[in-house]
Amino acid sequence: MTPRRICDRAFLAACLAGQFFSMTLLLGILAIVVAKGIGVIDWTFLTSPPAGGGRSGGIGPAILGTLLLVVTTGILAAPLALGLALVRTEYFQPGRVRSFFELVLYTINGVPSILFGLFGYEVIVNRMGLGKSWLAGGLVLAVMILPTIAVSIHEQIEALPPSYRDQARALGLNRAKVIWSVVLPQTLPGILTGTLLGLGRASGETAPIMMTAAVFTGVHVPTGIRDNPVLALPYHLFVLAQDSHDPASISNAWGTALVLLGMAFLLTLASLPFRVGWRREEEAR
Amino acid sequence: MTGPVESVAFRIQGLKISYGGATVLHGLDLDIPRNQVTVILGPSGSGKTTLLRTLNRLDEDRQGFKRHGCVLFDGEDLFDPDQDVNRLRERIGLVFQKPIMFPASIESNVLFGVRHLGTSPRSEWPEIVHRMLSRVALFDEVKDRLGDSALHLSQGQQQRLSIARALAIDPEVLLLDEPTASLDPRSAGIIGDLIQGLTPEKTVILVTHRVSQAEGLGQFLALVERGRLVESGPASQVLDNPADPVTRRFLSPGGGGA
Repeated sequence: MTPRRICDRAFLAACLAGQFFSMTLLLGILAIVVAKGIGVIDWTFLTSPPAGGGRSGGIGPAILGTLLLVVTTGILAAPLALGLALVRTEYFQPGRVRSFFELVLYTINGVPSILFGLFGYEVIVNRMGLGKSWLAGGLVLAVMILPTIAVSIHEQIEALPPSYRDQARALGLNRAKVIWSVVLPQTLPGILTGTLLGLGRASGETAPIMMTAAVFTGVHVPTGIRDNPVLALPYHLFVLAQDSHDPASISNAWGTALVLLGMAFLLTLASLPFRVGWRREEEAR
Repeated sequence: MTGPVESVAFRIQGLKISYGGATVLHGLDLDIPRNQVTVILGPSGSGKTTLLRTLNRLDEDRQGFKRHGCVLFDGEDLFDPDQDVNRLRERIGLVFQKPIMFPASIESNVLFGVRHLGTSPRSEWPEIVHRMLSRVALFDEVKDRLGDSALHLSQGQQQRLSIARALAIDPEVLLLDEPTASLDPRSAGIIGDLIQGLTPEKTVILVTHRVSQAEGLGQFLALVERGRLVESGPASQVLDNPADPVTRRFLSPGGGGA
């Protein structure tokens, strides 16, 4: 066997080992969460409020609260992220301003999520006067996942063949019409995919909402905007995990984890048709 | 060397184009006649496509693009800051070498410009689709599948559809960048017939490196080499009695003009 062939084989083996390791890890986590949590889940657990400090009762209000936070985050973050991506791809020429803009975006993406919580507590909860509320939590989560969605949308827009824009411009369409008629329709699946993946991340975040939106008990459905906190699955799980020595608490924690995992999985699954459709169109081009 | 032109559509004066320091056109002077087929002939890399894209003002946003000199279109400065560049592009249509189909139906592709520029009321759209596809000899081939994706058409059909889309907004000038370069002889023949049928209604500027195409279609001809105009004039005159030795060499068998 030639040295070149040995290198080739060794590289392939390293790739396969990496793939095997990551898949095993993922399947291992899934298997443990499902095995430990499935026994807890029933209709009562999914619909009733927590009781006895989370040791009994269910997670109904926490599911509702998480959904409310995710929907609010999506409504706030998606248009902003789209705007950011369009400004970056369609209006900024490559240069210092664009580079600085990208640096800011990537830096925000790397900020620890607890800092977003602190920022939200100081600015949104206190200074803006929203108090601890679902809207404050949605705003903080939206700011946090903004770069994730914007970068994802940006990549989709950059992947659009330049010839499409050239063709539209050559026909006399102005920049806004090129965006409306070519860029948005062609990148819509990517925009939706990026948004759903970003929301998947937001749905599992604890730190940003613990100071801005989430409480552990005493709330069912918010009735207003200001000072209207919610129960949320990640925060519920966080509190239960602190009592991990208690079998009842840890059992409910596994059940909560499985529901949270299912929610993130559904968001990823929802993006699948768009991604498949996108790939088919890419192949047809 | 430039022959006199009676009615001028474009007057190009000292046009110099460069991208990031690399000069592509070196001070080109050329009058392009109105309502004729002008063939810009020259070897690959001679600046023909750059000239065509400049007439549509398509490249000026590209990084490193620099222009010197002047182009008059209908007597008006094409690059005047007060010119509405989008309106200019509506008047000066451009068809690319490789057909560009939007991932949409055949009908939507024909109507792309019409719909987004609002050049015709919606009630006229079916008639426009019929007329434009017939004009490019495509209607009979696709009349039963107008709602199907244009991406599934053959390369030759896509190129004809590109021309139909450009014609649908009724430009005064049609710029064609080697539209038959990658097509089979039958498709190339259909597009050749189509180009001839566009005059005298429209001014057509066709870029090609094939002398045979210039012989078959050109009424006026300009030979460009290394970003410079070598010779121009009525096609028959330039092809039959070239005045410049460079033109004679290019037109000779094996001289570069396939």
